[in-house]
Amino acid sequence: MSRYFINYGLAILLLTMIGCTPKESTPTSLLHDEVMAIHDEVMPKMKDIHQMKKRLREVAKEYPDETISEDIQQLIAKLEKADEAMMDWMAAYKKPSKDDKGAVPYLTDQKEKITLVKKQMLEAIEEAKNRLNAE
Amino acid sequence: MLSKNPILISLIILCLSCNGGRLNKLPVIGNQTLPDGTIIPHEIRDWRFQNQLGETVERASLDGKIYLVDFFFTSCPSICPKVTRQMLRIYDHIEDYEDVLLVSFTIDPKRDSVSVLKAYADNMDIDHGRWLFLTGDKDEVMDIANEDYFVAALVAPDVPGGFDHSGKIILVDKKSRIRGYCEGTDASSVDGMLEKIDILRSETE
Repeated sequence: MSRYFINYGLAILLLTMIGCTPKESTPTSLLHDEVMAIHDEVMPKMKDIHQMKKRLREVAKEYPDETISEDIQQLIAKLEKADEAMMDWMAAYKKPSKDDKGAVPYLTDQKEKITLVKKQMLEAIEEAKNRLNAE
Repeated sequence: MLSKNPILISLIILCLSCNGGRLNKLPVIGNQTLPDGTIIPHEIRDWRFQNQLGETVERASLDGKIYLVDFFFTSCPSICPKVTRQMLRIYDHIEDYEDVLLVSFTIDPKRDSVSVLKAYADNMDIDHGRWLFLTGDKDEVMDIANEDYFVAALVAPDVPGGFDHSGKIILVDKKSRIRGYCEGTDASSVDGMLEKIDILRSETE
């Protein structure tokens, strides 16, 4: 009887250890996670870009002066370019497999690229916000 | 004791007569209530997009149907594939429900042309009439996502996210009213949505 419980207990312990084995982190998976973290941080800003564009278009209607209107159009164009940069990056990004020997340099490059996209988006949003706040 | 207590019997009958349609009615989401109690119903605007077969689809054509909405794009590297997997679960669940369909709007119409969406849909081996993949003007998609289907607004304040990253799936009833939502990246949340679909179908109003 006691042997039965010992064997049963060992089986449970073994199953628990197998189930609780943490997911192995590799340089590739860690880098991919870092790339995705930046992407995840900036993706919601696409809503801000859309709202800024809408508000700027409304403001532009109030100004018959071409100089002011043109400045606003340039801000809208910057927002659209930033939005497009994000869409371009997402379309081009391909998650490498863990066995891919080129994964680390690829992901390092992608991290730089998405960081630049993030900068572009945040700058465009900030400029638009400043212009709208001046109204 | 029971036979001698008419009040208790009445209460029991009253409780038993509360059928599933009344107790399990889904709320209507998005209505505004003014201080004087007037309710302003939330309406989803008329929209018009193209589906994966190149056909024009208007919002009004969905009146009389229950439909589930998500916003996605085919080249999405993170959340969308997970949400699409869950949408496939919903698709399997509603396969025999002729009054329910799925509607996926792309937020990348530049790349997600009609032919790209068709190839995407064909790859999933779905009935094009039961799952619409819609493409059109991006600004219009963003407007209806945020202002009509409340995709970003449904995100909890402490959850990082916003438009698109919510992965939300929205449930809309036959009168184009929003009746529920779930997290498209969370299988257990989608389990709840499957129940909501069945509850909504059983509503008689």
